Amino acid sequence: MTPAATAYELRSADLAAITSDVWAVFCDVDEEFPLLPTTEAPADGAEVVHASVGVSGAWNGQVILELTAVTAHAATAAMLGQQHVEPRDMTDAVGELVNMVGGNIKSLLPTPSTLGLPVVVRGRLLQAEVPDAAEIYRAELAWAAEPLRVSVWTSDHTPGTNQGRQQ
Amino acid sequence: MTLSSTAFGYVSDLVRKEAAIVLDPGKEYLVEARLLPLARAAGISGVDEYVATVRASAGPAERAAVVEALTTNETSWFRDREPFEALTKTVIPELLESASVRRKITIWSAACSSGQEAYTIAMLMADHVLPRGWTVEILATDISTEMLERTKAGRYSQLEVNRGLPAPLLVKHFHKVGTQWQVSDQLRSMVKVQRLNLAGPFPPLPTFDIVFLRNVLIYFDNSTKRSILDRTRRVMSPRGFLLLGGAETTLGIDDRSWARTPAGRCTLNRPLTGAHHDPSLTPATPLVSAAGVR
Amino acid sequence: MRALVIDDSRTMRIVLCRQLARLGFDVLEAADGRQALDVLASTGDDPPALATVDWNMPVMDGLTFVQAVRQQSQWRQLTLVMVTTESEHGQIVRALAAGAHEYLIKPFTPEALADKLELLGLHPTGAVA
Repeated sequence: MTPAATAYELRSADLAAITSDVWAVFCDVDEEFPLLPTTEAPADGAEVVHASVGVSGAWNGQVILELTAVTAHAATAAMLGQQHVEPRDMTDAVGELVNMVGGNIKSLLPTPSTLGLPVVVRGRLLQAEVPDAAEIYRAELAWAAEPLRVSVWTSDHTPGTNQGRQQ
Repeated sequence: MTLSSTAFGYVSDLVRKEAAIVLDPGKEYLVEARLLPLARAAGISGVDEYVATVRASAGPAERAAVVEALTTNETSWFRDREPFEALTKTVIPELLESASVRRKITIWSAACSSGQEAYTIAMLMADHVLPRGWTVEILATDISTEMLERTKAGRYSQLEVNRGLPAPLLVKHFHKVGTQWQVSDQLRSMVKVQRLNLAGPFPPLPTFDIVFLRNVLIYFDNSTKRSILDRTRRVMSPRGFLLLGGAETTLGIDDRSWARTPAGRCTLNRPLTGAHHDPSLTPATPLVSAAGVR
Repeated sequence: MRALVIDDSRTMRIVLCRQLARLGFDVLEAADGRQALDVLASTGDDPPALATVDWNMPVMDGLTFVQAVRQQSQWRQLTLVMVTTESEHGQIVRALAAGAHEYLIKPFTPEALADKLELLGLHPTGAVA
């Protein structure tokens, strides 16, 4: 009846759990490859797509999803239910994936905050795209042996927010 | 490792008969993925070997575990909806009308799994019974201690609360703790858990006004069904109500001990006291039309 | 029975349209709240029975759309289900207070969508089992 008044402390495990749920429902429809935590960082050289969604209000920052082009293609094909995928399909599908991950992460951060609209870019994430922000949480995952990273960045530097990087 | 066609055939037959779910050829990987944890829990390394063990044992609990692993990702809250409509429209009003000096309703959620049914009942009781100054006690039992612990904790994932829980009830009775939704203390205080194997002798139990025994009799043979129904009747109040699953009935199993009355699209089974000793109490005509039994 | 799917993501519209079509609905689409109001207006005195409404959309968000629909008496039969990633307790309360009938949190399975429509008593004919 009474919502818990104490602030919840986000954990990296939450990033992994939320992303795994999104993947299980929309991308791994045949239950062939669950999204699993891994300790391996994405290898250099693979073509990468990154997608971000901003959160602003009581908490300010971004949720970023980085995945290989192979994964982005497979996830899009699964969501659309078709093998043929146009570049704009992939942009839209990956944007919706980061929207779902970001929205669920937002619900664990200080409220009230507003979720922005997703931005999807081909290529590796550059620090310049998240100015004045620091990465505070990260989860390394793998889907069918392809790496996938979810990270949370904040530009808040006030006491009482979720500071301090946790792996 | 691939699943043998014999094992796949047995499993697909089982889930088709008992859950009306069709597993087409090509879904072998699904059977493997879902049954491997059960095999490992049973100390068996391969799914083929595990399926052979289940076949040989012919045990309802083992078969139920296989069906459950293959059919349910999450249990719905208002699963099948009609039993809960019958509860609020017929059962609760009748119990509140009856001249109970106890002003208390005692309910059994048998084979409670992770507790969604028990808490669904608790939500309805909070709206329809507690405001009348009556108390409610819900006993949730299961053969699995893991399921009892989940029921007692009353914490559900977002995917679980998405399954048929009306949003107004979600916000009224749950709050979010991290990625989970926690049932309110008010509902949790109504629900007690106890381990119980339906197929064996029952431990001492209270006298129940309402029993939810749904989607579990299907796993047992007729003589076991009859003995479970008989034991259930003995722990029920003479004014009590038994609700079974959509594919289950007391009809043809234990005709002389139960009166069946339709309530919407489901059937309420009420104990006929002394029926075993006096067959003349059995109504000459069935109390329910065929349409009342799904 | 017709349903209107409102979501700025084309992918999510495809997912929802596929699931609703399987449940027997004829499906209309809109990419934001403004477009959805136009689609509703174009249906005249025969509006759809159901609209699934995303929250975060450009032009007009889902909450504003719900409030706008609730101010029009000719759409009072329209059942509104929020289908959104917004998952705070307080957000669900806000959406229900604005006039949404049900609330489905993304990610959702096809079974979860079917459960919600079952709760709302929306049973189109011609559903594929």
